[in-house]
Amino acid sequence: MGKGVWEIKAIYPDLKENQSNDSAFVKTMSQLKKYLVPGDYLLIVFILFLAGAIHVLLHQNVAQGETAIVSVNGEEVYRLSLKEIHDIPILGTIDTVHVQTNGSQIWLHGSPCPYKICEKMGKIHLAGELIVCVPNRVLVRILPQKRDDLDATTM
Amino acid sequence: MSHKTTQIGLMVATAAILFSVESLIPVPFPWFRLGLANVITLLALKWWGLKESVFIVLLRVVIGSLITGRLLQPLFILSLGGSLAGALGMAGFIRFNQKGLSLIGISIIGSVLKNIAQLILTYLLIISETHLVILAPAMLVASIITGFITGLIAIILDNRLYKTVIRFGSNSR
Ligand SMILES: [Zn+2]
Repeated sequence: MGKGVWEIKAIYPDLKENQSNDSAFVKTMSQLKKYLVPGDYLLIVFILFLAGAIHVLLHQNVAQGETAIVSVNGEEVYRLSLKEIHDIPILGTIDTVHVQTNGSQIWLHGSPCPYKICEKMGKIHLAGELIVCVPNRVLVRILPQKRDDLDATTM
Repeated sequence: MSHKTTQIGLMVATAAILFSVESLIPVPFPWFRLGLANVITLLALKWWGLKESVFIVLLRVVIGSLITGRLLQPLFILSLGGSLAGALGMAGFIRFNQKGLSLIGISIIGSVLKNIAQLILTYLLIISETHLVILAPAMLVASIITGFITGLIAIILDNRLYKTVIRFGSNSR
């Protein structure tokens, strides 16, 4: 019986050290540097730069939105002013979902989709922001303020 | 059955289980998934090559979709298209740029390509809104994180899993 333990210790001499979760984590983190090569860092920086550039390009005119478009399956069904108060049932491809505004924000509630992710996306109010419900095919998009400019850069 | 057939079969089974279990976990969008099955795709590419890897991806997505009951639904096509794009991209980089990138870098490339393919397929099949592009920056950052984690897991598992898989293949009668 005792021999087994010694055998394990012979194979894994640093077993005792690894018993603490902290030191194992610190060890893995310090080993990370060993795994990465310069190309990896370059790649990560490049992708982050790309993401930042796209983000800046799309959010150049970010401001409080004024009008939201609700579409089902890619077809516009409603155009609402965010300055008004609405609570409107929308028929998606699964069932009805409610789109609500409170004078500045817009959000979805009572969605029939399985995970309610669109509801968790919360209340949006900025120009260009959107809420998507993929299962129910419902999309809420706040119109960009300088609509022509933005469409020219995104198309 | 040859040893290699058995070994690839074991990889398909592992990938299908990872894929099925992961698809039960809700995420905001398909492209925020960790993609643990990608570890298997990546290792198959490293050990064998593109042919074996694509074969594993095809079988994994079909079997995984049978298990989760999503065969031929839009999500199935998203998974298939995304995984194939990732596998092809990683294959290209493993072949021509082996020393420039570690498995982590290769995995990030696979993750980015998988998610770009899925974003395009979402546009083509589900929601025809060009403004989906507003999700691209978050998607790219998510790709770095998921690709990094799956690549790290691949590096850690590489030798151990290889030994297990090879032993599995040679023990089978
Ligand atoms: Zn939803």
